[in-house]
Amino acid sequence: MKILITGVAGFIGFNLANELLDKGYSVYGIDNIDSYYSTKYKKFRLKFLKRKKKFYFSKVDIGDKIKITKYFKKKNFDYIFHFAAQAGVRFSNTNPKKYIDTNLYGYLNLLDAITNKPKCLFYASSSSVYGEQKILPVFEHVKSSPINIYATTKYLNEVISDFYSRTFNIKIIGLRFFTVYGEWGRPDMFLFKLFKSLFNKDVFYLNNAGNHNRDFTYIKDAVAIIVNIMKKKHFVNNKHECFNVCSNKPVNIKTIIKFVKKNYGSIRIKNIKRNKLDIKDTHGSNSLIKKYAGFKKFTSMESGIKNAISWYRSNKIYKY
Amino acid sequence: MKNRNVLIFGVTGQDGSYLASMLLKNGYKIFGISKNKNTKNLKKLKIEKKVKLIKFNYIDYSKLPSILKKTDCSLIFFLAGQTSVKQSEFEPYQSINTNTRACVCILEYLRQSKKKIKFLNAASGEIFGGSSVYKKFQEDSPYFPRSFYALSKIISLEIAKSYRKQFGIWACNAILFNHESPLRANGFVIKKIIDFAKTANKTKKTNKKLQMGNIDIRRDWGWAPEYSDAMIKIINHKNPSDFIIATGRASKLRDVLRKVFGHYHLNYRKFIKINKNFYRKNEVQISVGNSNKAKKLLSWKPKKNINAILKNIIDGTLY
Repeated sequence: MKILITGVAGFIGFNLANELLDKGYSVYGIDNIDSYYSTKYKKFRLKFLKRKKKFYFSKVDIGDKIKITKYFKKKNFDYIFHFAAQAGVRFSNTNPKKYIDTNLYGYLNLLDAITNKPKCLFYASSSSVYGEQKILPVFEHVKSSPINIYATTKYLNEVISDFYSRTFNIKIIGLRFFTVYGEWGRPDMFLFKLFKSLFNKDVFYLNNAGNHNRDFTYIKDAVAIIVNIMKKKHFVNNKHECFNVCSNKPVNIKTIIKFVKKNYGSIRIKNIKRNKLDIKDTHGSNSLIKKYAGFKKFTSMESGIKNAISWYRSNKIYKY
Repeated sequence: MKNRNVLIFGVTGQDGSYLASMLLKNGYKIFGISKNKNTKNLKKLKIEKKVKLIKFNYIDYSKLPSILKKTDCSLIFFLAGQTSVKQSEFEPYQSINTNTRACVCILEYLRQSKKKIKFLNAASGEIFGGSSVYKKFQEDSPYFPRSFYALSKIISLEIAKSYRKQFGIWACNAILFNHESPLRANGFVIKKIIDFAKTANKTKKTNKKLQMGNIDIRRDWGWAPEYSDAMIKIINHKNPSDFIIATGRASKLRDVLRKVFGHYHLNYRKFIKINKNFYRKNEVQISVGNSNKAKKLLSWKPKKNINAILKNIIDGTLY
C-alpha cells in the first residue's frame, strides 16, 4: 500500500508519518521546508523519519504546478493525506498571498495532479472555518463564517473537495483540527511559545490577558483517529465529509499558564491587547468523529502537557 | 477634482460594454481590459473610440500591478473570465486560473497600495447550483457548484469577501443570474435559438434541426442593461457588500423556444431535435435568485420580463 503525506515535515504530517512507519506502512512524504518557522526544526523532524524504513522523502512545493504534476506520475497512491499548508492566523495579516498560493492553488495543483483513484483523500481543514460562533460546542453542519484569509482558504478547500468528490467520485475527508498540541509541536503556537519562555526565561507576551478558551486536542489522539479511519475496510459512500477533530473539552489559556507555572516554574508574563484575528473561544462537538473513527478516550490536558513538556525539555526544543 | 477613471476587466463582453456606455454617459473616463480587443460590442454601442483599450492576457497576471498603477482608477470592475459553463469543462484547471488569479492580484494591489479604490467582482448565480424544486437563492444560501466555472466564481467571491473583512478593502460582489441582450456572445442558448429561428423564418426549411439539450430546465433570465445598472448601484452604495441580481422569475427553456419561434409564426417542435449528448452532467433544473436585498438597499428592480427581453433581442434593440 502506498501512502502520501504532504507537509510531512510539519507538525501533524510528521506525527502521522511517524505512526504509520512504526506500523510498517510505506510512506511517501513531500514538503517545501519553507521558513515560516525554523527550517532547522523541520529538518530535525525529517531526520527522525529518515532513520526509519520505507520512508521516501522528496522536496516538493505544492505551489509548483509543474513539479507536483511530475511527482504524481505513476505513483498511484492508495491514501493521500494533504497536510501541507501555510498555517497560522496572524501571519495572514501581512502575507495573505502566501495563504492563497499554498492553501488554495497548492490544493488545486495537487487535485489536478492525481491521476488514479485513491481509496481516500484526507486534508486538513480547521476549526477557524466556523469563525465566531454564539452556540458552543459547534457541530459540523453549522454554516461556516471565516473571518480571515487563513480561514477562508481552509473553507475553500472544503468547497473544492466537495465539488471534486461529486465530480470524480472520490472519497474525500476534511479534518477540522482544533488547536492540536503535543510532541513535535509547532513553535509558533501558544503552548510551545510558553515552554520557550519557561526554559529560556524570556518574557511571554499574553494576548487579551489569556481570556480565551481553546479546545486543545492532543496530537496522539488526532493521529489515532486518522489511522482508525484509514483502517476502515470500506467507506459507506464516496461522498465528501467533514469532521471536527477535537477533545470537546475547552480549556482556558489562564488555566494552562497556571498549571505550567505551578508544576514547572515561573514565567514572566506581559499582557498585550487582544488580536482581532483571534476567535474568542473554540469548542467543537466530537460526537461525529468518535463514532466514525471508533475512538473514545481522549487524553487529558494535564497528561498531554506533561508528555509534551518532558519531550520538549529532553530534546532542547527551546534552542530552535 | 474627483478621480473619475474607471477600469473594466472584460470591457468587450456584453456586461463590460453596457457598463462602459453607461459610465461614459455619467462623465467617467473608461479604461478597458480585453484579451482580444474584439470591439464588435463597443462599436454597436458607438463607444469604441471613447474606451481606452488595453490588451491583456490573463495568464500574465503579474503584469497587472503596473496596469493598475498607470490607469490610476477610482473604480475597478472585474467582469472578465471564462463565462461559459460548457467551456470550463474542457479546461477545468485553466478556467479556475484565469477566473481567479487576476482577481486575487487586484485585491493584493489594493491591500498593498492602500489606495482608496472601489472594487466590484462579478460572480454568478451558478454558485448555488440550482435545485430540483422551486426555491429562490439568497446571498447566504449554501454553495453547490456543479461546474469548474461555478467553483471559480465561489473562489473569487470568497477571497474578495475575506479581503474586505480582514483588510477593510472596499470590495463587493455582484452575484448575477443569467442576463441576456443582443450583445450576448454566440453560443449562449437564447442567442442560439433566436439566430436559428431567424434563419428558419427565411428559408422555412425544416430539414436542418436545432440541436437542443434538456429544454425543461428553468432559468432566471434578466435584461443585461439592467444588470449593469445594478453593478453601478452596488459600487456606489455607501458600504461594500454582496448582492444577488436576478429577476426572481424562472422561465422554462421550452417556453423560450415557443415564444421565439412563435414570433415568426413557426412551431418550434418542427425545428428542434433533442440530443441527449447535449445534456450536461449535473445539469441544474431550476435556478432563480432573490434580489430583495438589492431592492431594499439599492432600490434596484428588474423591469423587463422574458417576453420583452426576447423581443428586444430579436429586434436588436440595445437598450
